[in-house]
Amino acid sequence: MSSRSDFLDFLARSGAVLAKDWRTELRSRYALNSLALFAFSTLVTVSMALGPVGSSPLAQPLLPVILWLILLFAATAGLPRTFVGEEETHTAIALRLAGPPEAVFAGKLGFALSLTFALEILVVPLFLAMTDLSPKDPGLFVATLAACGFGLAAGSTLVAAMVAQARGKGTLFAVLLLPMLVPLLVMAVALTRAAVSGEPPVVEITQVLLYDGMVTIGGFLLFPAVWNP
Amino acid sequence: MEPATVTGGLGWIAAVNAVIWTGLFLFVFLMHRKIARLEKDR
Amino acid sequence: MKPTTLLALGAIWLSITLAIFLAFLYAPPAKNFIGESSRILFFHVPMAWVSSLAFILAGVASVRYLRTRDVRFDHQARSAVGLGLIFGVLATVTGSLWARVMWNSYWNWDPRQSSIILALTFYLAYFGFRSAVEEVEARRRLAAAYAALGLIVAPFLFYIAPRIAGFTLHPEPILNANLKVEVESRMRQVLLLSSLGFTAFFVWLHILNCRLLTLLEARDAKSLS
Repeated sequence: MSSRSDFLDFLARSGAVLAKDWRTELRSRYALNSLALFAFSTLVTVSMALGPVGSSPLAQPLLPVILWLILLFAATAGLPRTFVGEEETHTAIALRLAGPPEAVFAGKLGFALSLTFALEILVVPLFLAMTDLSPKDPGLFVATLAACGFGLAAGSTLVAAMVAQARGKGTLFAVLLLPMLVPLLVMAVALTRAAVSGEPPVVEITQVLLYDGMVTIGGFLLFPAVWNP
Repeated sequence: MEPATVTGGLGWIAAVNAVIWTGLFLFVFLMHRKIARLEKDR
Repeated sequence: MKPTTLLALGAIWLSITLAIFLAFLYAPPAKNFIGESSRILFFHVPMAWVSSLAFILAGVASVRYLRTRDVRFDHQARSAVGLGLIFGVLATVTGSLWARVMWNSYWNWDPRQSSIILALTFYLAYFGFRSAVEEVEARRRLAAAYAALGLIVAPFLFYIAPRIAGFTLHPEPILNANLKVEVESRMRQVLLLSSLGFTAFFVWLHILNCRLLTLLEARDAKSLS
């Protein structure tokens, strides 16, 4: 009975963090704008640079790599805002008082997830159109975007919380995040390639889910130490 | 003739070992000296 | 020096010296290896092992730091990451030299090479991160969280990413039961001795390094006050 109401309380608090983040986000549209514009300009640059090669069969195996690099770099440009903003405007202290660290992490994770999925919904169709790519296995394609986007968001949320208390946040964020995301990136590319070509994938999507789960659990375990001085 | 680095002969392995162990010895030596100095200063 | 310390140091010195001699004189060169190049194995494998041991140790010490907030565990984690990097670089360099002999190229992005270079990047970032946090308590806490995160990510780095590439030229003399490269019993003996020697050597270095870090911190605290 009490554990149930505890859980509801937890949900309410993390929901409040998520709602607060979206409210401030919609007011300034900082993260959304920087993510989307970054992704869009990279997309245009890459497509232009590839030129006719981009839509030739020659480029087919490379396109998943380019897609995930665009998503990855857009994420590193926009996602650290979730925590860096709190520290810079000194609202982190209020947030520390507002609820248990796990609820804050859940709320921030929710925000990063919705932001990442919004980014994917904006960028991926454009990418497919511009490179003339049509996945032979759309189900796997969408599942890959969802599973790998989740890992991207979960890893970014934890690392952003760490970096927010350091100097040189932007560069440091990429330096800390990229090595830990490379396994995910490699799996994402392998799965996307399989989804595009219709051949059986060399990795199972369950391995991505395992990564997501481990990073999320690790995030919930480590976040209280990162968050509370 | 191939350069010595690519032949994979005994001399090559010995040279690699010599470099590694000299380096490790220097590392330990310097660390020891630093510790000794700090302990004296304390 | 205490007699037990002296005895331990003697044992470390003896096992490593013996391993070096045996690596050259006792162990036969492995089949399918060019020339004598397989002898580098007796150093390369223990280095790689010690490096991973150090990173695991750093992760465990970090978790203990977060639990207890005892500064000693922070020193342990920092020391282990540093030594893990040194042995990791040595393992990479010896591996790469061997790759030049066997595969005719120092670096060819073999999955094993990719994962170790990533692990090294990850732990190099540990020091970058430390130096970017000014407040001492926060530095320890955040670095510990990062090194603990390493325990979560490492399995993916070493087991999943290499499997995706689908091929590796890297021999698997210890982990693989189905040996492509026959590990002859004399080779196995030398490898075992060498690994023991390197492990003991690492433990000694680690103790020294922790002492050094404690002393350095005491000095800095004194100069500040």
